[in-house]
Amino acid sequence: MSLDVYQRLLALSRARAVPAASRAHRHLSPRPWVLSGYHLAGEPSAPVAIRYGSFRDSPKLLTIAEPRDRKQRFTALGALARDLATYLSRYTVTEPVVRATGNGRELDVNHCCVDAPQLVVPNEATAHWVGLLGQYLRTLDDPVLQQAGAHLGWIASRRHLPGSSVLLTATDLLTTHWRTGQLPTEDGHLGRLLAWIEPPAGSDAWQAARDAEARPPAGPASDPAWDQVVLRPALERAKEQGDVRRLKIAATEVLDGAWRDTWAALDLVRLLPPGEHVARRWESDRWSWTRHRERVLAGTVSFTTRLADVPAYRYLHELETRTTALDRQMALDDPLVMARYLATGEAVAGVVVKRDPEHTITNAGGRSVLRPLLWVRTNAAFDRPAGTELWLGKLGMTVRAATDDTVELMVVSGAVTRPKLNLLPETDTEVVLAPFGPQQHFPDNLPDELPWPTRGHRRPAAEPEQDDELDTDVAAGPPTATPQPRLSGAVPAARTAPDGEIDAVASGTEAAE
Amino acid sequence: MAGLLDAPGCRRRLALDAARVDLGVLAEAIGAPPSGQSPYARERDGTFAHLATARLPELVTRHLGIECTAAVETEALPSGPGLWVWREPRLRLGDLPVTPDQVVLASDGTLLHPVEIRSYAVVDGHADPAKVAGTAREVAVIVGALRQAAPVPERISSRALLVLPRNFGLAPVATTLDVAPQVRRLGWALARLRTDLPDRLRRQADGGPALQGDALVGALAEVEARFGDGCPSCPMYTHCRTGAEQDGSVARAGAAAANLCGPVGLAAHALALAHGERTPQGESEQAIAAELARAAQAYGWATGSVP
Ligand code: SF4
Repeated sequence: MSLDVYQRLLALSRARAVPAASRAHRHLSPRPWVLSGYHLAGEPSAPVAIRYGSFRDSPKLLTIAEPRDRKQRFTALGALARDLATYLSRYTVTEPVVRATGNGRELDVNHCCVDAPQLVVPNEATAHWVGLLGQYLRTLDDPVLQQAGAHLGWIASRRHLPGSSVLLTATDLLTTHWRTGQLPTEDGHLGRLLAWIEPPAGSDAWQAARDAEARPPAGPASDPAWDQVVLRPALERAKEQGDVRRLKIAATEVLDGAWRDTWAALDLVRLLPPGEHVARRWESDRWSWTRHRERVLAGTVSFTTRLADVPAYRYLHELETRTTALDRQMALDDPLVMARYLATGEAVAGVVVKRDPEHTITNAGGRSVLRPLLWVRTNAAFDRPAGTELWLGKLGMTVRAATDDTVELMVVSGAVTRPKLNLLPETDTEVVLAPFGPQQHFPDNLPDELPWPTRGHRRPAAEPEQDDELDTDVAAGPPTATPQPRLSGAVPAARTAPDGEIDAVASGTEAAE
Repeated sequence: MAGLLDAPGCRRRLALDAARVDLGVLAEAIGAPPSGQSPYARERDGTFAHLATARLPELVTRHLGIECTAAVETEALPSGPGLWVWREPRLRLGDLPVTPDQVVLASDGTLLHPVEIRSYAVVDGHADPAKVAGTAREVAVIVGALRQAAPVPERISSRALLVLPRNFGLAPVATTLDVAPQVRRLGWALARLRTDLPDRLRRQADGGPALQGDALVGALAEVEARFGDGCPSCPMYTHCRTGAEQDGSVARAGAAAANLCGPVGLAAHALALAHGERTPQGESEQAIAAELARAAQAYGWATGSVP
């Protein structure tokens, strides 16, 4: 998008990030659970140190003296599981919600949790690790750990749904709201990113970012040199002499940066007023949490990594729907996001120069109906064809004609009856006409059977439960392009996957270059 | 060597490989932080390689349909069927030496398939795509080098067997990985390898004395670079990015910016075009200016400021 590029260039030339949003587009819990940590190189199931908690000044620190030792791992993860359960237990209060069902004729009362938990981690890699930890915990033979695994699984599954705020990464929070002048891949480094947004006094973003790089990484992979020089001696001492002090000091030191940075990211976004649609999207998270809790209580939680064909199709459809809905809601909430559409020419900014509220046309039934006309002066030519739909809030209109500096529009909804004519903008009003309106419906025209042949046979039972019209829980990532049916592994039963079922993803990724 | 495929658009990156630049020497010359592997990662690699090697015959039989009971040592490209281990082969790709510690090959009598053991996990049937892509690039180099050594190059298959640990343990699982696209791209990169190499580097490439310190950096700096999204994994990264920052080049902000701005290489020029402070030269600059100007206007509208 050209606005993106322009913002990056501005940031680059100013050596400081520029705002990419003027509203907070993620729900920010008043009491998030922040987590950062390291695992042993190459072994996500062997945590070395984890720092977590809801209070910035009093985090909990777990250290594991022998991360490869199952018993020590169990003990430490057990502590994590109990603390997680305590945190989650704050979110059990429900309220009755009346929803219309059927054709809107019947009313149904459902109970929805009044608030839901929120996990915040420094970066994408840690978010991925949370999912892996959940998976690992679910394979263990202990009900407490399994339940923590189920919770982490639910949390991790929400990460892939655009608009969900259950699992936030600090890097995503910041890149949603600011644009830097560095490589997008470098934006994945939380320290660098913060340096761009708030460089310490007296240094520009370039220098600040370089300084940030020199500090310990935000995890979950630790610095190899640190492993060699600090971690190894500390772990050995802990193992041989049972003295974990050195390990604790080392862990506190390295995890401190990521911890503070994650809270700093939250602080920065909290300064922005929340976007209007944020609460609606959070409601969908609350419903999902409610359903997840019900399933945990009933012992029917299950996770699938690969969906059968129809559920996979639904899931992809949902991702698409959510992505579009999120983009539009953000644009409607925030002029800085709407500006992207102005920059591409899909939206139009200008001044109303003339109106004809009395204009009528003859409709297909031969009746004469009110279709007011508006003329908007623009500062750039509008180059989309006649018939293009544009929206001004709830007013829907179509383009009749456009010249170099004027667009002629016919209002087709929102103000086509006399009592509503006062909703038309007056002349001389500045307007921004968006390429979409506030309430767009995405019809869910999903077939019961797929329109293309698939491998294997269908297993309707493998379909994940639907939380609401826009919810699916999937344990790890979107399904592969050719979904293969596989039974969902239910918790607590350990999953058995046949050997050799690996997706050879490499040739695909490479060929696409 | 696999760097050849990492940033295919950048000639400077190619020059690193073509001139056989020692990466340790380079890191010292540009003052880059030392790169290294965690001792824990090394241990894990070792343990898994050991476990996986023991199970190789079984995995090869199951996935490639090649009957074998144990790996047999070889000193040259094997000809018969079975599972072969060739330690420290001295291969070449183009003029460049390729010297892996060992190459494992499974043969059905006609085709030879490379077998690779890596220690990143396959969790629930999924391996990290970035890591698999990296392995594919490395295997492609081996395949290319083996083909160069083979009397009948077609006998070296691009279908490799990749052995990885499953889930959170160390039980090996295998999958086949076709690296044909990577091998093709390798051919492309090789063809361009030696073009426009500065004399000093060419002499080094031909076996002359290796350049050190500033001389090395200076010679590399003469080669055209294309800064972009893949750079953080390149050995020259810290050097090139400083250059891009000092120049104020558009590419410092990433590929999207560089693509949109095309021939306009400097951020200051691009912004001047966006703000109407510079007259665009030629048609393509006009188009770029128009697009950026619209973005600047939109941004000005949204932030209530006149850019
Ligand atoms: S860091 Fe430099 S040499 Fe390496 S790919 Fe980027 S521009 Fe080319």
